Amino acid sequence: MKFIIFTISLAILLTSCGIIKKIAGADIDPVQFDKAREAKMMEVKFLAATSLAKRLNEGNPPENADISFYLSEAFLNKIAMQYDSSEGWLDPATSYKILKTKLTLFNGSAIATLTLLAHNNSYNVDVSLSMDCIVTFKMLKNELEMNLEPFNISPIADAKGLLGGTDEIIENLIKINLANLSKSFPPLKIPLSFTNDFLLEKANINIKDKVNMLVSYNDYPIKYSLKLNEILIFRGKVFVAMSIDKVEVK
Amino acid sequence: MKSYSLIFIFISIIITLFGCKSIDLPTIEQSQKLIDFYQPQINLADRNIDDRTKNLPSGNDFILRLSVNPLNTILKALSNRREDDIKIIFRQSKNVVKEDKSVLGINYTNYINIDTGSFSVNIKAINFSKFDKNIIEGKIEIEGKGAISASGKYIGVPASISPEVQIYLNEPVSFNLEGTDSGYIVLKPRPAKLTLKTKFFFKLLEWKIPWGYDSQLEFADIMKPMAVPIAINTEVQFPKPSKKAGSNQMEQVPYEIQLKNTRLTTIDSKLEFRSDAVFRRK
Repeated sequence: MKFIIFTISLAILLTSCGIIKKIAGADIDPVQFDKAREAKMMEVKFLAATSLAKRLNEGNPPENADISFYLSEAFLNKIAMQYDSSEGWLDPATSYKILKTKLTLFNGSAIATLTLLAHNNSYNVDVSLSMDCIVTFKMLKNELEMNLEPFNISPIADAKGLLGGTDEIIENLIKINLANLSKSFPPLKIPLSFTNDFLLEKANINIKDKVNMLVSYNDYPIKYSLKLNEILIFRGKVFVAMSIDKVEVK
Repeated sequence: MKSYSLIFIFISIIITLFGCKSIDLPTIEQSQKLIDFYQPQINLADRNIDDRTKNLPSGNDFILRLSVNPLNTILKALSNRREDDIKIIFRQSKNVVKEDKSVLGINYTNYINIDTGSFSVNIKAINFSKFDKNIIEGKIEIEGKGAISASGKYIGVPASISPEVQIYLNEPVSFNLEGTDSGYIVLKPRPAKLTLKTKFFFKLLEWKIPWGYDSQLEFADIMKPMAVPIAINTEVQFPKPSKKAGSNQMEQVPYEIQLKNTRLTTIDSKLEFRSDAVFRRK
């Protein structure tokens, strides 16, 4: 009986190790995986850099823009850091926690590497996910957001309970992440304001001279909105060109 | 008993093997070939881009560069607004025009008093021409006309009139510029005397006299400092995933963004506002 229990325990242990090794890359080959990841990154950077070089050769120089913002990589990482330790749900049974986000700006592209911890309640399985995401910038409801589109996912499973469904869960997690993460994951909001206002404050000037006069005007609330013209990603910074869209004086 | 053990070992091996599916990956050689293909082309594009962007600013969390054009677009909306931008109220002013006369040894004085009256004038143009060492220079043009009430005596005969008055001002103005850690550029009017030209067309009985007078206005009195936002939100709601079990909803979490190390300079005829940010959850 002891032998049976020992055998079962060993089998479970081996199975567990097997999953960790397999998903970690034992049967994939970590070198092969890293090379594939590097090649994919290169492809992304190549396409973006050549497109940016073409834009700079053919379009207006960025420094000519009337309103331009330069957002540093450090600034964008400060925004991303606010999402560290955030917890959410990939599906009704699978929760995730963002452990760390690191965003790097290259010429033409921005790549974020996220480390997530996903947990499936049904099977009590933890999966560490390291994901490379292309960062896209888009305007939504008058706000500029960074969205993350995963293109490389490296999962490491650590099964604690039943093992039968582990593979399936991990596969599902990968599929969910690849297909739906951008929907489940919150956009990173850039705190640029496209609607602004200021006040030209009322004044009264009493002129006591040969001709006595009172010169006065009321408060003029001035509201202006900006429109996004262009976003370019450079090494270490993002360039945002804007222009005045509408001005309203009340 | 032994056969049970063998069954368990067999099942365990099956479970172990079952886990051995692999993910399709290119071979190391295929990946290396792609890397070798892309790397020199990325380097070439990087050199081209870096060369063209070496003068772009860096060194702070965010940097705003602003030309005078957007400010003029805003001010144009103010000047285009309508024709009653500024109200001029004339108060009683005695003997604005006065002449002592003597006819056949009889001395008398012709005079005109301004009694009261008001009308509005239009900001015809207000625009900026350039930034220079944290100063923005421009000009303001004001124009308008209306009628007021005046009275006086001509050859001893009293009369009341409603003369037409024209107002005109066209002067250079400038503002000192200051950047604030609250995310504003403050435009502070620089002291300057502006000349408000007033032309009166008096006609009191047979006394017709066009008369002009220049009043001096202090620009810093006319206009108060304006705080123009630099389009950075110092309060922001970050959408964050909900911790609620099974939920894929987002929760809005309020943050405050504190700016520090704010500096304002003028570079290449543009105003440059640079600052660093600290995020604090509220």
